[in-house]
Amino acid sequence: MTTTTHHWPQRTAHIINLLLMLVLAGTGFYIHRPLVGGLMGLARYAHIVAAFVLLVNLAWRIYYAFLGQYKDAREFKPQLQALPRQIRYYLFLSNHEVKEGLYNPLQRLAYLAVVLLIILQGVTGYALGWPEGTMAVLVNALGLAEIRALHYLITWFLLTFLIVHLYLVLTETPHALSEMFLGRQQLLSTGSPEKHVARDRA
Amino acid sequence: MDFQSRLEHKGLTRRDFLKAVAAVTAALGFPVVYEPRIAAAVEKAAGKPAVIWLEGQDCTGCSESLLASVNPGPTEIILDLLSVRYHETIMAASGQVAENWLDENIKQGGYLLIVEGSIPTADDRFLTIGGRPFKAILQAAAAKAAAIVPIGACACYGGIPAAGPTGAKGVQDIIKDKPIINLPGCPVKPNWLLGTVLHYLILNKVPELDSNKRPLAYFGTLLHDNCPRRGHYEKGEFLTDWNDPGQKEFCLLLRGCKGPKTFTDCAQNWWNDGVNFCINASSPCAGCTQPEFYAAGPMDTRVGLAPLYLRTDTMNLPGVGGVNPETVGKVVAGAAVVGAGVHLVGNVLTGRLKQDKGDKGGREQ
Ligand code: HEM
Ligand code: HEM
Repeated sequence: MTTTTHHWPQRTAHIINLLLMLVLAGTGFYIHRPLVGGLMGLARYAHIVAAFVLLVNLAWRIYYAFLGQYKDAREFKPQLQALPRQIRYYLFLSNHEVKEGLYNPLQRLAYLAVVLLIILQGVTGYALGWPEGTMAVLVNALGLAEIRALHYLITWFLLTFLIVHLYLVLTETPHALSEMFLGRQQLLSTGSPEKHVARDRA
Repeated sequence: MDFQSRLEHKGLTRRDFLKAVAAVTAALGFPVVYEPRIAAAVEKAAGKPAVIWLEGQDCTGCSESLLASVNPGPTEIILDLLSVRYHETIMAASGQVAENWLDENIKQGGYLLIVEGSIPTADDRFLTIGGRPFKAILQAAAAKAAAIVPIGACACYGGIPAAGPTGAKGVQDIIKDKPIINLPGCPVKPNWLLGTVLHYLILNKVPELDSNKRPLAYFGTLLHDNCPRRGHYEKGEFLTDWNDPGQKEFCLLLRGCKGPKTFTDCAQNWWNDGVNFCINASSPCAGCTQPEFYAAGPMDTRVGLAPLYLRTDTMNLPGVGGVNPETVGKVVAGAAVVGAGVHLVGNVLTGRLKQDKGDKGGREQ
């Protein structure tokens, strides 16, 4: 089955991911720089619970991408050759973006990077929380100071993704917003067909 | 003199001795039933094993910490148990006589080599004894040692001298082919040395170590997870003002405590025969048992845990050295915001923003 829009399983995973990411970033920043009189215990508890749900959600999403009813793994297959053309489009050097399927080459890379970053957060976070267990070798090799700094740095990278993601979603694919969150196509503007320049295939 | 009378000579009763054995047995995780057997083994081994004690670039604080206890304690027992053949600060011999004596003992082999202080690697001339580079002395002594016990942060990982220009390294960076039991700390805690030596005497093998070669029995738990101030951490009660009596029990995290990054049993096993330990005395943990404790300097780009009273959030990027993740993060995220802003202007100027992108047909390919 080919995917032409965002189906409910993907949408659900995305919304869960989005909410948890906000919880994790919020509690994470608090853990990093606690306010006097705050509630560290609660923040850490929420962070760790959210983290595990996030990882389960990710694992399920990856599983679904390959074996689900609306599997969409190939939508994320990197298209490196087409990358320069897509970059030219974003730099206003060309009016044609490359889009075969749901996502353009840059989107594909960015989404794959997010998966990688979440996995890295999981590994470093798990090492921070249970440094004496399975992660002991990593902890001793890098030192907890380094691991904590990495976990914090990746948080910033995820935030950076979110900024760019939000900007591009709002400016490039506003119609996908309703697709992604409500599951239906909603034409936000009723322009004439001639206006579809940007989406023409190169 | 038999063991018992040697103990008495030191002012130690048999009870003191058994108490020390009990403490060590517990610390190493032996069941209590082993205690008599351990005491017996210690008595049997007493006086036999030879020890050579070398001192590199250090402050002699580790020796000091071991020797300066007021009451006869673990240290006395060790020094009494072992025959310490060479120890620069406490031996009577000096000069050429002492050096010859060292050579002779090395020839005999099979001793326990205790090393205090770091080894300069930038230039041999930073430390010579009797004209010989310290590194050469260490290598010669290590070659015939049964096992090596580097004590203190310097001998284990370079320690404070690693922040200087001598290229200070720990024993494990120089000697690769001998069993090494690292006992870091600044200084080393006497109990750790006592326990390790006893363990070695009794079982004749190296205790279970982590990948930094520290005995798991002492360095297997995170200080932060056992901290007496942990409750305040959980409640978000952090000491910010040293002068406020209301905060004096609070968590020291914001005052630079390295407890969350440091593996040690300090919270369970206090210093000076159980009198106190840093955090309990309102000093943030300095992270002295960690390899990265003081490794910040021109010769070493690893990120250290100093300074004491500041949170050190820097991380080490290979080839780049220390960077602050917060700075990197803010620059990257800031660039994204600026980039998006500039792009938006481009979008408006080129009229692209107004183009209808709700093109369903175009999505199917
Ligand atoms: C995915 C699995 C994750 C796990 C298992 C995890 C776990 C943890 C743990 C155990 C801590 C340390 C708490 C402490 O210091 O006592 C922590 C801190 C933190 N986490 Fe996570 N986390 C995860 C994901 C995330 C994500 C996705 C973000 C950001 C979006 C994040 C942001 C942070 C931040 C900023 C800190 C504070 C770090 C510091 O002290 O500098 N974490 N996390
Ligand atoms: C308010 C916040 C967010 C909004 C409005 C939003 C919106 C969207 C939209 C509309 C799409 C579909 C894009 C298209 O069809 O061209 C999408 C896809 C995606 N978003 Fe977000 N997103 C948000 C937050 C996040 C966060 C925090 C993450 C992860 C860190 C994330 C990761 C992804 C990924 C991986 C995809 C690919 C599609 C999929 O996983 O099924 N998003 N997002």
